[in-house]
Amino acid sequence: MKGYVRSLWFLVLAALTGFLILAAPAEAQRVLRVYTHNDTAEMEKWVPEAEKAIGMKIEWSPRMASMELWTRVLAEAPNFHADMIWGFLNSHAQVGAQRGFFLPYKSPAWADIPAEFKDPEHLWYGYNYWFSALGVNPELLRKKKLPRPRSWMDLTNPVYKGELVMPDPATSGTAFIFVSAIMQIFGEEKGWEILEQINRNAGQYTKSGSAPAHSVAQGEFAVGISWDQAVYGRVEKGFPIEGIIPAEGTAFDLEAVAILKGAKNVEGARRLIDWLGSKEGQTQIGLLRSKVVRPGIPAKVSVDPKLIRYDALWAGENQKRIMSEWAKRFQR
Amino acid sequence: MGETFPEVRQKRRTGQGDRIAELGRFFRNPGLFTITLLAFLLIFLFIVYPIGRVLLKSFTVSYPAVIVTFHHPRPAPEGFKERLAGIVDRAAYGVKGIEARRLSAEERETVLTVRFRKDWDDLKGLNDLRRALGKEKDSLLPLAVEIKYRLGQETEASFLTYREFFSQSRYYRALKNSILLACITTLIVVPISFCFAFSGLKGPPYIRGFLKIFGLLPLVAPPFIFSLALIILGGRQGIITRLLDLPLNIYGWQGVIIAQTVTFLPLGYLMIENVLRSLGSNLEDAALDMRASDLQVLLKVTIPLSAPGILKAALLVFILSIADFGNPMLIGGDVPFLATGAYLLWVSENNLEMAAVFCVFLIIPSMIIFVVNEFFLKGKAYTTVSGKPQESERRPVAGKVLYPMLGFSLAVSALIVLCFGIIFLGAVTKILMVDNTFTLEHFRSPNGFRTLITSVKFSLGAALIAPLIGITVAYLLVRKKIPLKRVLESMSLLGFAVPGTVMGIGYILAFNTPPLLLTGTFAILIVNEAFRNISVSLEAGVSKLHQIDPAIEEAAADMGAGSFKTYTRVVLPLISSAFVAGFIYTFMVGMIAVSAVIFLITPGNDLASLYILSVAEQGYLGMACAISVMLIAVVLGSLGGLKIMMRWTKTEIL
Repeated sequence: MKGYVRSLWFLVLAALTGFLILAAPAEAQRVLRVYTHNDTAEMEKWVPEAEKAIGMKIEWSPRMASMELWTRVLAEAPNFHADMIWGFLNSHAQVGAQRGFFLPYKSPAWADIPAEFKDPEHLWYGYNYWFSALGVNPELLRKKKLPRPRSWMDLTNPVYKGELVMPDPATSGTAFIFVSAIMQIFGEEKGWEILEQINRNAGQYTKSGSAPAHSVAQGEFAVGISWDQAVYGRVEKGFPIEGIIPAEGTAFDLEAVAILKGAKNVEGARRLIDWLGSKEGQTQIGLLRSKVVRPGIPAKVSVDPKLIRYDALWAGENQKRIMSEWAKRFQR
Repeated sequence: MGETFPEVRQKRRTGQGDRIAELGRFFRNPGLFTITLLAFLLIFLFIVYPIGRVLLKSFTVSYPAVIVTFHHPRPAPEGFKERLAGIVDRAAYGVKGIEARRLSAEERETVLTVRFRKDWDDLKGLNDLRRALGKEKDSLLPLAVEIKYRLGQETEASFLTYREFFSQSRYYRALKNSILLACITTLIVVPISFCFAFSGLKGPPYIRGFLKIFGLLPLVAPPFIFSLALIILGGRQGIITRLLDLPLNIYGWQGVIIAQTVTFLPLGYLMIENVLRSLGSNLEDAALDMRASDLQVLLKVTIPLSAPGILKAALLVFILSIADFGNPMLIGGDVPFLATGAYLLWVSENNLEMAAVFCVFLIIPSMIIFVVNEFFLKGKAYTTVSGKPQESERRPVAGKVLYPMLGFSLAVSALIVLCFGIIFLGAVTKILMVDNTFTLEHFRSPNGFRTLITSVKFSLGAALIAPLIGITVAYLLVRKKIPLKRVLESMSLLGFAVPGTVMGIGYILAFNTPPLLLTGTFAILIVNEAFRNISVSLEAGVSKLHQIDPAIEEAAADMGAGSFKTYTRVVLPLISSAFVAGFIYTFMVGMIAVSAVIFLITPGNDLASLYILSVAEQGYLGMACAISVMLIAVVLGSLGGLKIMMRWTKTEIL
């Protein structure tokens, strides 16, 4: 009998140790956990500002590409491992709202921001917007005697074989928006033909949407499909890269923020939404992003691109089908 | 392994009756019984069960489904089901992507389940269906009071995923590539390791310490920093590429092979050196006395004698190469490999079924090698002197044998030093070789610091648990009479044999639903890392226990100590060195872990090694270098601290 008592003590001790290890990060109330597809360099700058504004610590996942983030959210539902998503695609926000992933919150700070940037049910808010853009390396184009592309169609030109870098739509939101924009501009059938030709030119697929701009700026590739800030930010820093907005028009997407159902720190998430809509928050976002949603706040890109009427809901609803088709045709 | 223990041999001689008596004693010993049961349960739950879930998953296929519920008054109106079926037929005609549907009537409601194609968006299906049924409103309204839509999933057992794997080149090419890569890496790593070990042992004495440092240096760094260094060196815009104006492209096969070679060198080197040292020099001396040349001795004596050991090293490198995650991820370019492919399938398509099939093909080679090693190679080492490796008398070896090998080793050492140098320089310059201004800005990364702290906590946690369990199991195996020894041993070794990717996906599958809801916690990271590494502590414990005479424990027992007391007061202090060895190993491996944990991190629980990977992928090479430097500093610092502590407390551990 004594032996059993003693081993019971041992069990209790082991359980206690385990519990202590488990309970170590139990200060969930004071920490805000966010998922994001924002660039690491951006988060390293924004998070300290946001922490000051909301008076809480913010923990964020290492940067995930947009699709990576969204599959993770889908896989985790309904037990999300973060309180909110700060930075994800509009199409995903629309789908998430329909699936009932988000907690509504009517933020007073967003009252005077135009309705087109907010969900009518207050399930998500769009705090800035961005568009797909081409980046070209003029030195490399000259060296290799390549013409300057002016439109999406130009990318199908076989002279760019091996000289084009684009993100992989399987992981990157930038690429997905590019693919669904092509579908929306040219129609599905013609769209696939164009993608087929672009695929033949692609020298490399990168995981994230910013990486192509990086490689073009570094002189690794002549032409890259990327997004505005990744391109124009490097133009500003003096890298040998130029931005091109394709003649057919380009798709734009809102950068959304939403509170996940079951969030442990709802108060913190609300405060972050307030801050993102406020003048201070929008100013911070504008320091690094191309266009913000609050009228009168300056942002980095002054170019007014020709935009197509991008249907984000269509993109969200057809994502899986288009992506598996893409993977079947082009995945290497 | 159990076969060679003296008491097992004894058991062979004892009869059936004694066995039953032994079992009886086992069940009457409460402490032993509880601890054995606990060990079995924990190891089953955290190693075997997740792997089992992966296997099961690979034989299922799931389809997106939409479930429509028609609530109707009771009793159902006349001919209700037939009329509803007609309406559904009409509506479904216009909806794309439908594969199957069925209507099932219950008392107060009728449920329509519509199964869509596997690659279809369920939300699109739902919205299309709702629109189509909306058009039938006039005929539906009199039938149903309320209509509800909900998303669902239909899962069935099937070989479909396997069929898909073999029919699409983007899947089966990953298998082909991984195996080819493992073969090439093994064929390169093993000779290099042999050169290192041989020229270290036979060459001038000072060279050994030198080679040992370089051979072991890669152990303290995240396994993918060589990829990082190679990208800085030979990427499309790398230093070499630009200086020589070559159209180099390090991404792809060549990059992965070079990076893996350097990454796995330490292991090959350690194992082969151990074999060569334990050979002793008797036979070599004999051959030399008979006027064999040094080359003949090498080819006809040394290599054949150490063949089983070399083969073992080769098998290990093979497994590690297949399981490697960081290098293919960073430098693999467009070439698909199994381990990373499984991860990408999960993150980009949430296609856990195909990921599970990838895992099965990751498990098979490791399992074959595991079995070969356990059942055919064990005890086949041609040790000429039993016991500890002995230092043989150094005799000069002819230069024409030694120098090419030494030169080769030094060249590889130079490559390793170059890689480390580049990481360090990359960390303190703006952009290495483009803008060589000294800067510390790459170190100013708040998230980098935070992840480093998390990494230390994580590694400490795992390093405390792994040796505790591993050595307890070792004790049970070596000293105690417990049933199913062989099973317990194999189960614990499984965690090490199975690639990290499999354990990562296994944990997602096994611990994502209540009551075992552990995903998203910090604990799951620790548990995963600890259980994957118990086998190293186990092996250390077993070999240490063999060196300790059981008489000491018997003496304790004679003086009235129970088995628990004997364990804590006598055995644990004696085998503390095995504990520390397990601790150090698990800690180091934890600091640089990538493959399994990448599936399990959540915001706030992310690790420095993964942060480096993600930062490097985005092209912030300077920041990646800086965090790598900090990580290496932490690992070296902790090792140094431990060494000082050991000297201070006068305990001999390493």
